[in-house]
Amino acid sequence: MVGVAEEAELDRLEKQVDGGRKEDTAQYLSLVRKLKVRRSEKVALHGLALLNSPSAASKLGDDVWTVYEQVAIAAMDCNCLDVAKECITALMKKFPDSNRVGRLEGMWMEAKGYWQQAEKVYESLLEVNATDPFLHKRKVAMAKAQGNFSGAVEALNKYLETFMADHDAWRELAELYISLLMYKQAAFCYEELILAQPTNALYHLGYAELLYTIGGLENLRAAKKYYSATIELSGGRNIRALYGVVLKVLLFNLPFQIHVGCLIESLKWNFVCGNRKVGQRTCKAKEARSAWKGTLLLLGFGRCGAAINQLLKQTRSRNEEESMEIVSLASTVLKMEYKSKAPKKLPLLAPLLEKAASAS
Amino acid sequence: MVGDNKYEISQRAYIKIVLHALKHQCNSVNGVLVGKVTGAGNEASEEGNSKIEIVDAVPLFHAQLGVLPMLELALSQVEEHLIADKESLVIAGYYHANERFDDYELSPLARKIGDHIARYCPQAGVLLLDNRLLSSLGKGGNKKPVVQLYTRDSVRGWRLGVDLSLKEPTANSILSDYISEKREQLLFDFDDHLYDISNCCHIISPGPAPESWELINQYSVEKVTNIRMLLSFIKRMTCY
Repeated sequence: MVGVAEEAELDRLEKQVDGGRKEDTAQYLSLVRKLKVRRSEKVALHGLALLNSPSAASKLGDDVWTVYEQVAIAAMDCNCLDVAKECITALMKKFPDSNRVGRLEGMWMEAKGYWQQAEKVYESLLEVNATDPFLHKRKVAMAKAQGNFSGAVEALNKYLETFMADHDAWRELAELYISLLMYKQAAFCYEELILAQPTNALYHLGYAELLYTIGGLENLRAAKKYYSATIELSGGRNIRALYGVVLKVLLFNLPFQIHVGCLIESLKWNFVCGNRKVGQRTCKAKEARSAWKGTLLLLGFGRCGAAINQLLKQTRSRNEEESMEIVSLASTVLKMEYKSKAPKKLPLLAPLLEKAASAS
Repeated sequence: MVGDNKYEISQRAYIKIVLHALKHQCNSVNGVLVGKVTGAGNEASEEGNSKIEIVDAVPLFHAQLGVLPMLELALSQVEEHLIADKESLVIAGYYHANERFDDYELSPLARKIGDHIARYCPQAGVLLLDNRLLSSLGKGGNKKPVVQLYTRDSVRGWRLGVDLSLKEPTANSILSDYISEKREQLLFDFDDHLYDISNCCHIISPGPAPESWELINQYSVEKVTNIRMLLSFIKRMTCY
């Protein structure tokens, strides 16, 4: 993930290089490498120009081989496979038995679509270097490229059993799960990420969005907490989190029946109720049909009714206090941001914020 | 029969869809289509000879398409805009472009979102970018739209439809020109807007074609004809 300042610096260098300042090319390429961004067209174009110019290439010294590797990968990304092959050949001459160059060869075969040959290359490299994370990741990439998502998920899970500190891999796994609509598993990945880096706002944001998507009252409450954490960690600048908090309130304003039904579900085994079996049976009723029927059954049993109502009042008043403050603050920040940066869009925002204000 | 519905897409919507996909070649992209439904008979019914004119497209996301909150927010903002606009346009469809070059199927996510939109507009169509057709765009003379249309049948779900036409026959040649001028860099979607709200989405009411898009980058690149084909390998390079 790239910070705003770094991205600005990268864009500035890119503009200068595009404008003809060849002396900045080396710096631009090294920043792209450092930030691990994917700007393959520019890198291929300017990198190739750099390599083809003997004076500029000699100034790089030993870095020229890193640039060869970078240009090879960028060229493969742009489907300029001849260029890539030339770079790889040059690297092979310099480093005949290198694992890294072998990897590039494998990638070239993937680019060509020769999946089995690429597989063989990676297997043979793995025999020598069983713990090379890049080789494992290339296998995952191949599975994904061929559309075999379940294979990719399996391979990535196996990789993460060994390299469980690889955050990028956890994120990739979460994305794979999301594309397969397996949200709970994706949420698990984000939980791992949050445990590993609790101060990273984007992980909290991703987790909140997943909880929202999965749905259910408990999850929505948790989502709101994670959105709030994102706001805190990002210094209130993250628009998605601000919107997330506002959206939550609208959902909390559900009709009473459904509200109670959801509460019942979430408090399944915590009923202040003498007869546990009663609680269980009525839960099943609620699950199968509408919440209102569940509520009636419960109230019919008398003993649970008062307790449920009391619990409801307590949680409602807690919610209301929290909601009011967070939502009004979030709404104010959103309004201010829109006024300063996109005043024309403010009318689109106003109805949503009004609803949120009235709901809380 | 749903198959009797005719879909017509304006140049503006068409170009936006393709440029959105080209701006984010490494990702799947999606967005909603905005337009009018006219036709004999009950507008709310799926049957009958309705004509669905897709007037504009609103590019939504290029990252994490499968999560709900921002999608709900975007749809509500689009609806607010359409209500305020008073041109009596509705959300008439959804478009999607897959991440991989050789993926020509409508993904489960696209189907789900399409189902949701179809609840409000039964004649809604789903457009899926066809990479093969896009690759052959540069060869010239191609009058067919580079998107596939899917329509909804209550029995069989989303099926490939055939009744999609371009409103302006010059759309493909203008699209080729815009691609070679790299105008996709001028397009911002909802994700870009959320990243920095000064990037405004192109929710524009019907009007003349967007000639006011100025070229901000005069850097001349060799005319790249088969863009999607040339950049197809991106799809296979993940986990780098």
